[in-house]
Amino acid sequence: MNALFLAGGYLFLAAWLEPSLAHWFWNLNPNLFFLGSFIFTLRWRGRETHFLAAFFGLVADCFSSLFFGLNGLILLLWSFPFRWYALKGFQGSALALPIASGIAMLLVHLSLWATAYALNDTGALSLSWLYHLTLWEILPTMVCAAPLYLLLVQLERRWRIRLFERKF
Amino acid sequence: MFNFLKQYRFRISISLLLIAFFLVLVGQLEKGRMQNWFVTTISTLVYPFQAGGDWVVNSSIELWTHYIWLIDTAKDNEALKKELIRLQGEQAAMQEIQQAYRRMMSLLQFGNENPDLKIFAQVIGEKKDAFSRLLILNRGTQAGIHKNFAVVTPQGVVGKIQSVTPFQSVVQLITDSRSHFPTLLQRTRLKSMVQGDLDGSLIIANFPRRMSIKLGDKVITSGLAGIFPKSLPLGIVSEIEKKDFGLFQKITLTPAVNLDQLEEVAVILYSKGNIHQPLFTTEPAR
Repeated sequence: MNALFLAGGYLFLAAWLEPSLAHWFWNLNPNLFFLGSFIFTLRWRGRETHFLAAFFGLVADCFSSLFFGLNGLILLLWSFPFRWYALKGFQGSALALPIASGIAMLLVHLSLWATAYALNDTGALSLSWLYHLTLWEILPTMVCAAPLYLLLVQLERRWRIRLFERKF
Repeated sequence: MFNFLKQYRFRISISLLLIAFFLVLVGQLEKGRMQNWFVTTISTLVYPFQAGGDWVVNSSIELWTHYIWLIDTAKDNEALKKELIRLQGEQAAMQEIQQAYRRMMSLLQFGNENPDLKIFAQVIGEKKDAFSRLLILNRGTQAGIHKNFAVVTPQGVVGKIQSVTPFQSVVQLITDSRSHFPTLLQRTRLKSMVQGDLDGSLIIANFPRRMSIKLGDKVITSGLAGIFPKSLPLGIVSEIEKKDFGLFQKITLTPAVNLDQLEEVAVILYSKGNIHQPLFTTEPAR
């Protein structure tokens, strides 16, 4: 139950802050919905993280102009390889997390673009779009990754959430 | 069956989710992005917090910039005060230009509407003492002005040229104590003699007692003296002093022109539409 509150609280904070961050901090726009789903997947590693990722994506869809459900679908699909990485590769290192989250976010956005392009919902890819994505979205997300992960660990200890202790 | 569902519940859930996503996306292909209850709910739930957060952040920024971080405020204040003084000067100059522009426009309009041949002159001085009420214009005989020419504005009669030099002329205002000229009551067509008096007002000193006159009646020039063209506004009746005895009543007029605020005037050189030409005026060579 505490885990549900934690995930719900994070999601609510993300929904609250996401539209305001770019407004408050120039154009810096960390993708808190992706980051949340990614961190929860890496940390908890259970099957529930797929549903969590889908729900995070759906909430992200509320703040997007793409087709509704596209973020949800992409985050759900990518949650499988992310979970595989969490089970097989991720060691809980706060140093590897920013790099992993940066690569994962780039993959998610490229998938989003490809799907939207296939659905005729967006235009062709450009270098300036990639540059903007990297500078204003991926890098801020990478910066936020480690602190949020450590915060999650602290809150788990405080609220005695033991999902990460499960054996797979 | 139940065991099957229980055994494959995860795969079934994920499949159902994928099918739902597929259907939702396919549904939007034709109609475009949909607005649904989920988006509405999330946005409604989050809005008060976003608005509150925005208020907190903006208030914090304002608190910091307006009450704490004031290191350059004194310098800025000094610079802004200087700038304010400079801008106030500029604003006054602009207002002056604006008002001059309005006056000029009015004169130009008057010049177009009034058929008389006239020349515009600027008031460069005035003399008002116990006996005289005079204006000095910046045009003289070089501009074709001669003695006794009528001086008017779009609002009405100002006075007549009393003396003239090559580059200047002196105007005797209609309120000067030595000014006398025949006029006409517009409503009743009664003729009378208007004069200035020593306290600077415009009066008809001897208006026949039995003649009809009312407050607000308009008085115009009659054109009879050969100075002012006929039908120029002169003033309106503002006071009627009728004693119990005597042959006349005294009428006080309010001049049609505010004689204290004159800056530009027109001097009529030749009155085209009037058979009663101003005194000494000759038709210009064509």
